[in-house]
Amino acid sequence: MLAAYDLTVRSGSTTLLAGVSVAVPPGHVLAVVGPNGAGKSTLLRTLAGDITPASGDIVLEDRPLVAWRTPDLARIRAVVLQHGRFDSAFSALEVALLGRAPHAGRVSRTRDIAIAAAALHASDAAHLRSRSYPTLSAGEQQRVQLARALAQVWDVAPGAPRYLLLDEPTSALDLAHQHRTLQCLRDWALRGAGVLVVLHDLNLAAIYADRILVLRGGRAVACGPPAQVLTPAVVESTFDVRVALVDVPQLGHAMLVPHAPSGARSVSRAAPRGQ
Amino acid sequence: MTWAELLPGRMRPRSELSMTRGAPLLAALGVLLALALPVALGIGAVAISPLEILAIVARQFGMTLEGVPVEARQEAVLLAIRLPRGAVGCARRRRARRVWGVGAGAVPQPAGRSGAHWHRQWRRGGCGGGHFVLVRVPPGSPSWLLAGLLPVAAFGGSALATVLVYRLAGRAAVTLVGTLLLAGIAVNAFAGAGTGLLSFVASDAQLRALVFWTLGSLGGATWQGLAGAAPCLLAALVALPAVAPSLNVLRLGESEARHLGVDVERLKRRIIFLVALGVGASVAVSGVIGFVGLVVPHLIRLAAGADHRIVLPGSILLGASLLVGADLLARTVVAPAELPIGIVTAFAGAPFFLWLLRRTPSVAWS
Repeated sequence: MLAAYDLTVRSGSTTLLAGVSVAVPPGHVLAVVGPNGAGKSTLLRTLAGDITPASGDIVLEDRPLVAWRTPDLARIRAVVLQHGRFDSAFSALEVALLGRAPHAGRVSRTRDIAIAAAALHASDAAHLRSRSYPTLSAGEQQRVQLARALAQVWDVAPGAPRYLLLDEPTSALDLAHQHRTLQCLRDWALRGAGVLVVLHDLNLAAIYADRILVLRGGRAVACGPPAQVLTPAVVESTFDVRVALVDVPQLGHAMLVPHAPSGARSVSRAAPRGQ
Repeated sequence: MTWAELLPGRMRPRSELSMTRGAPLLAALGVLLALALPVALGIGAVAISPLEILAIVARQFGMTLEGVPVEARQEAVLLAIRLPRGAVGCARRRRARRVWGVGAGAVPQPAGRSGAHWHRQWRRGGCGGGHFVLVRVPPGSPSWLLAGLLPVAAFGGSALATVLVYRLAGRAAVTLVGTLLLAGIAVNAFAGAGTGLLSFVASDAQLRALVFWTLGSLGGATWQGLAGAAPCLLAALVALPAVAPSLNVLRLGESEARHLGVDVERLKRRIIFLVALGVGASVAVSGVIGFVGLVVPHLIRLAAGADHRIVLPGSILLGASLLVGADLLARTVVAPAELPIGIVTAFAGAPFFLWLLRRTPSVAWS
């Protein structure tokens, strides 16, 4: 289990996170949502060990995060930060292979390459493997980065834990790949991985996450199963947008639909203009 | 565009791994160097054939090659003048080349582009140290003292400049590229003023030595000078390949590298030390030879991808070959006088690089 208790993070006189507690148990997908500047990325980077909290404790597998050695940590936990500036002329396969770096010397090179290829397949980027990374589109690069993270924790010892921390892994993806990526994370959770994912699309979060943490202004507004958390009341107070929860019988679940602000062109498929 | 695309279709390697693409390239570069060296050794005011070179070298180890008459004059020229030049040429380019490749990788990812800037940094610092020795060491001192002191001073200078810039820019929680560059410019200016001051107080003879040293030349190559620099160069040569895989990971970014198990701070300290060591020693032996260091790693990257396990040895081999070739030009085109080699490399290299820059899509340069 990856857990944080009462985290407070400050940068100068600004408080980025104020008393946030969070738990990512193995086999669960936790989605973090909230408006821009709510502290989602700060929370993820703090849990990843990049930012030292002013107060609060982070515990991974019953040990304080700071007590973990960097190489040990890298073998069970992969992190993908928001779209980076990585632009080396590596092929997609080589980028995925970088994820195998923590296992260098423990696993054969052939096995590493097989794992990197399988990881590319899992993130639907197998056809890109010999393409040069900088020539890929933003969405393709994002899938290759996901593959890099999957390759990093591809095979752990039976029963050993593994964690994925992903900051907006769907931000550049088309509709189909948003769902494929989250389905992939869902599958990994089923196989025992603990997944923390920062998302902007509330409906995606509602469909694929076990629990949702809503942040606003560095504070946890709500945390729990999607049905309890993503109510119109919570969403409206967090995002300052009026929403309706619409049951969609064809899909078998409800969708959050924002009201168009007044002044926007009204969209009505049922009664096109001029009739 | 990669070198592979210059080949006819069926010969193009299909592999998506730099290692596979790079291995034939490395072999070819090795052959190139092996060919360039005897040719360059043999050409000059006193002509020596490859066979005669072999005979002379063999004689040093007490062997004689039947049927190869060797003039004493040839032997003297080869042993006293050309071999040390060749050796320094290889060693020097080797260092700077490789070092640059590493340097670019070591700089925090967003700053990767400013690798050239760091290189300048190291060089300028090393230059300052070298100036100091050239001016301060009394004229009558035995040459071995100078040979020993130059690398030490150049290393000290480049290390100091590097650490200073790194410290100044690294004070903020995040090392900002802009800060890094500005700190570099300031330290550079300071080092420049220092070298300027030293030039100002130098005697005419010292001034001439300084100018030639700054332009770069293998003309001053002696076995003694090489002996002074060799330990530094060897140490860096042996220690650097070990960090190539970590450098690959570091290209992803510092946080990413940490999440992949790399101790980033330790890696950076190690690289800065090794780079300062290598650059300092090579600058001390041959002065400042521009441009080769900027271009060669890019050429290798263009040809075989960004994998440092290829870029480092490839840059060493190609850089050594180019420098040996440039030295050949430098001492033959205006014979019996000799051009400073820095002029040759920049005159020939800059237009070629610009041509390459124009015809290559920008993505291939990273």
